[in-house]
Amino acid sequence: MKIVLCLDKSGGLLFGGRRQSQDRVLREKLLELVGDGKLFLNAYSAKQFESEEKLAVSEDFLVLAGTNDFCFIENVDIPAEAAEEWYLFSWNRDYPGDRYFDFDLKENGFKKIRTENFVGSSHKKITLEVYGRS
Amino acid sequence: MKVVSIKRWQAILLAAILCFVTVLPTACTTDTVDHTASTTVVTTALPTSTGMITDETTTTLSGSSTTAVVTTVNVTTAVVPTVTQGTKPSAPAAIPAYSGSPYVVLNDNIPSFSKTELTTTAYERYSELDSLGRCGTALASCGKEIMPADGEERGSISSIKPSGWVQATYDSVDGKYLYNRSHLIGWQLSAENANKKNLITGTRYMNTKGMLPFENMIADYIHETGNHVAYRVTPIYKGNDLLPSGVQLEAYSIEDGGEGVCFNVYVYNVQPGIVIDYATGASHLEDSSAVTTTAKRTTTTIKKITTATTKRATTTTKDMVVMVWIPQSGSKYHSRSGCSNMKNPSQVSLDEAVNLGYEPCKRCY
Repeated sequence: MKIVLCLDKSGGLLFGGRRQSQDRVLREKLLELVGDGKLFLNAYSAKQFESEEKLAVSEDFLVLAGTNDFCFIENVDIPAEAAEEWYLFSWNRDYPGDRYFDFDLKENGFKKIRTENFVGSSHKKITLEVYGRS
Repeated sequence: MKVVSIKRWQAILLAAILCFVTVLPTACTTDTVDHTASTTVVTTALPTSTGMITDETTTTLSGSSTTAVVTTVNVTTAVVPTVTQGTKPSAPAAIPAYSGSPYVVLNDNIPSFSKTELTTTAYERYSELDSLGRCGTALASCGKEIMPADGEERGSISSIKPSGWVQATYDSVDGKYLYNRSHLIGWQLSAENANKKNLITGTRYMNTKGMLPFENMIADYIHETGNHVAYRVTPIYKGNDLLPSGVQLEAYSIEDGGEGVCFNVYVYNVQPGIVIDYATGASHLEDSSAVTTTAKRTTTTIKKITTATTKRATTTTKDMVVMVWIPQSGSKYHSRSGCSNMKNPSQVSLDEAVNLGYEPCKRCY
């Protein structure tokens, strides 16, 4: 599966059970990546999207998603062993955190495929890094 | 058993209704909020939190998990903050000693706000300084109305000397300077510049690693949603200390009932590797004599001035303040107002010049 995460400068994902930040432009970018497919995610993540048209919402989304499906993960365990590609959005900001992503991609056989910077609706610079199998 | 079961159910329902009735009236105003409503800036004598630290036992801190796999977290939505009567801030019951994390969670991250504080009309309230010149609680309903306008630049705050302001420099500190003039309600949230009721002496570490991430979270949330966030910052002093030992930060996003922002934390006013005397603000390196590097530098400078020329020496005793000249533009401070063809230079203390980032002129110093 293709795992999508949003991280702060420290690799933080959550604080107090809540996402650290959100951005409308990032969500649009994410749906562009999904293309004609569906974005798999749970109800907590789905709530920030205006439409569920391109969403596959389920608490079991990680089980239901296929190899080539995008999974947007915010507040559940990350099945690193099932990842074929990683889509890491960085806020380029410091936020408080108590859940972090520190999976060593390089050590686990992934290499960076591309990097893209874009301006968000409330973030001056968001960076997308895509990692695939070496 | 059946009767007991019904009573418990009724009790739960009653509690839920009470919470709903207590908080919702504010939240329900969302649809009718005029985000262009006038900004309210009020100065009140809010109660301070002096002596709130009651225990310094070491406990395991949260916020330090760095596992490769994120553990499942039960997301709490529409958390109801502890709603108090009046404006008395909640008191942190027990704060563990600093043990490596810039902040620690209080009361399971549940803040305490009164109903009137949870308003979608933006306001700021700052406490009067106490008899020791110390800041007290600052409270705001943060919204775009009171945040800096696009392109607005920060003003100078160097004229403010918060209580405990004994500046010092250390190589181990990011940017060298131990202390920042730390906003209680951050500039990015309030656009407040040289407001002495909103500036405390905070370590670089507290300012950038402790407070800033929370301010970022609030600011970005407001920019993204247009919502409001109730935000209270309470400096915590022990006794008559001039330097707060830390600050309590409480925040609650109003329109979405805390779903976006909800925290209650204590941020330590510490600097790793530096020992601070909170009574005065003096500091020294761990495992060294109790002399600040600024003090050393000042002493050296005084000696140099005195040795070089007695005419130039404006100070010869440590009790007097060394005055220097700084230009309208440039990066050097000078002992002579006519040095380097300065036009309309300003005379400031050596300490202030150093603090502002000026370096000694090689010609006259």
